[in-house]
Amino acid sequence: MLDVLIEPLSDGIVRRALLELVIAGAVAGPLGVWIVLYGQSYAAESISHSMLPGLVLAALAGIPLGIGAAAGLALAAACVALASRQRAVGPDAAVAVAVTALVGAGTLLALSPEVPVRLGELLFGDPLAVGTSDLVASAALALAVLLALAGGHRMLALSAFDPRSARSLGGSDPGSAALLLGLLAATILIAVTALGNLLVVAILLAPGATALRLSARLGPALAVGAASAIGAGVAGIYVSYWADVAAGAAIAICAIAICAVALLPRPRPRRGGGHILRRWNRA
Amino acid sequence: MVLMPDPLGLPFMQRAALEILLLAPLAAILGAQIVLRRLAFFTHGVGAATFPGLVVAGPAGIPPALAALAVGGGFAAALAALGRRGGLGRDVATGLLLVAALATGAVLASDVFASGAGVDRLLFGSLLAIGGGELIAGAVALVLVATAAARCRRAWVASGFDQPGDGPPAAVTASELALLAAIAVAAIAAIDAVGALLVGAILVVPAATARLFAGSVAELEAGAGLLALAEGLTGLLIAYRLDAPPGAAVAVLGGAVFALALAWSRLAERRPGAAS
Amino acid sequence: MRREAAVVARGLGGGYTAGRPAIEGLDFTVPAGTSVAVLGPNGGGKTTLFRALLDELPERSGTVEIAGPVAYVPQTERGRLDFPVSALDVALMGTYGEAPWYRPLGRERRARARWALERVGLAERAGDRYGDLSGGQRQRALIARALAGRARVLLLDEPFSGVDRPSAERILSVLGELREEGRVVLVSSHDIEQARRYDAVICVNGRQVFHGRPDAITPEILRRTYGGEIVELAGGGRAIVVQHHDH
Repeated sequence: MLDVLIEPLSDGIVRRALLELVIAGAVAGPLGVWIVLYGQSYAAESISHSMLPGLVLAALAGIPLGIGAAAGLALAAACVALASRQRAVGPDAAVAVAVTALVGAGTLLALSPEVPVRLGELLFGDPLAVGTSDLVASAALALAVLLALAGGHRMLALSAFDPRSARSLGGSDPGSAALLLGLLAATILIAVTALGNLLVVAILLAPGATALRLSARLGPALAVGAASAIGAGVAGIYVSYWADVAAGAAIAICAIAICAVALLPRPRPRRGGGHILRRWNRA
Repeated sequence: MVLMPDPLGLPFMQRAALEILLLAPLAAILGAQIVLRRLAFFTHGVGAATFPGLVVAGPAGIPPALAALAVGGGFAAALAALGRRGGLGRDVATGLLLVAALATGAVLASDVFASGAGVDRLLFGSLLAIGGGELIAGAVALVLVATAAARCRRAWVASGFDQPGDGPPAAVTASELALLAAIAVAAIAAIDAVGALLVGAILVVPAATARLFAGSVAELEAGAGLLALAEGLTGLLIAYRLDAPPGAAVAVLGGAVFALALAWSRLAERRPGAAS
Repeated sequence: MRREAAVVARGLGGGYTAGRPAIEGLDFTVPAGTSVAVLGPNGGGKTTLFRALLDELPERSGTVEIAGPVAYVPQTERGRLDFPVSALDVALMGTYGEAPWYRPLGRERRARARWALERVGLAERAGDRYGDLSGGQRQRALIARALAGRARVLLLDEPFSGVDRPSAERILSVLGELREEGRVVLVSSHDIEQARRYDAVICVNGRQVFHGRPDAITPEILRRTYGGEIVELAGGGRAIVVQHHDH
């Protein structure tokens, strides 16, 4: 039994992938809780596709794709932030316009004959190809995101709970929205190497929904989010190793499976009583 | 708009233009509901979720339209079921279902995302993808959606009025289920022309642009339909000129028109005495 | 009790777009230890007045002088019921603005949040999830948030809508105690009858229609405040407002 867990570790690629997923999960889980609380699932899902123009331009200019991805994500986050702020059409329609235009622009740019790699490869990447330098960069970025989450915790909580009163209590709604989207871009940059462009949102939304289902208070919810994201990442790597399926898909399915179990109806009275975590919180 | 005679003489361009003509009424009827009821994420989700179904269908010998319909219908039904049970916001449920569909596709055919000439075509659309079968599928989609709209449009307008799109949805009514199914059908029909990742270019962006000016649901529908038609046909011509996927051309064009319209409406708002 | 002025508005006006003020020319003085009902139709500027007092309007004219911290207490219906916080967490949010983001909140602020919950009679429910509280209890938790932030002036936005009768009485008695302590309580309301229980009434419909003691309100003032929305009942001054809830 133990061999099942130990054998994959002899492979350096798997070791690096595991480490990468622990790093990514520690950031993506807590951020996912905020994404779900702010109703920004669409932005989270779409910003990862919207980095396409950045990737293509980086490929054209011959600079590292990571830098292109970062620039593309920053641009996408800025566009989504601008789109969400206008009141003329609903925020989700505005996100749709921004993201659709960015993906389209990336596709048109990719038509240039100088683009060395195919569009599909830019979008889907290779999950297990994590080098040591990628790990160091991910760890540094992850630390920065966690520090920002801790520092911005009160501002995020004020606006998420009661946006109309946030300012009078010392918070800032635009500040919170901008912080959240900036951190979202950074987190996707960390996690996209492990999960691939189309599936990266799994490690944000599923742990977020899991955590909010299991915890009645914010602090525990952020911890549960991190734990379930890391758990899904590690379990996914093992599933991918033994079942020989793509790592990104395995991680996404593990994250959703954990979430599905958490969402199962549980026999609990609406008021009073409460489940273990709540009783624990109250103690 | 000046239509150059030479591209329109080509049979595949005629078929593509016909497809846009079929999609424009869908963009009118459903685009208005998508924008008013905040269903843009669902539209994107159901379109993108269909993509692995289409990829898997080819080698497995399943007709692509059938596979797409199965995935799209399952997506809409699962979302409605999650909404009925409550406890999960609609946008979160949409995201989770989308990822579940994509991940399942990746497991079923591990090379789904790797390459294959069909992938770019499915993701971003292709002028050459539209044959007689696609046109028939488009026409069937139009008939289905028009029938659903004829029966339910009044209920859609009435219930969409006081229902905020975010937060846990209330119990899903039959008319709402019909709306989700209609959007799924329309999204699948649009994939041939604009691709799975860019379904919103035809179903959401024109309606969002029309929303800036429309004063009523009927105006919104008319504006969305006309814009979808104009942007779709112009996009086809651009795609032909650049040898680009039509989805990308329509998307960029739609984004540019929206940006201009937004700037224009802002200016009109600033001008004192204008548009009370 | 000292009766110094706690809120002074002079020529106060403002709105959300330049050149289109939602309220204009409000002049009133509210002494410390007073409760004031703000009456007006939907869209008449009650909430805009509160935003102006909080200095949160994009466009504001005139002057406002306020002694002490101001807190806004929103309608509970607009709060997030699915948000993972306890009643105590909500009260604690009132102190968030005091500490810089890199400092922990500390023992004193937590103690103050507990005290605030006690003040509104929610000490027993401190650990309960906010979304599990009743409408009236949620309203009191939001009042506790204002008290934890040491608010001297409280602006309550329709605190009785969606709250049952006993809870409303409970909230009213809490508001009465706050007033006794020398705080200022401004309550926007639809309920003309209830307005008679306050020290003063301000009627707003774009402009200030009336400011004075509740017993000085005449049917004519109400008609000017509510326009066509009012329905008068037979028998001297009783009237109800036809509410239109358009969002």
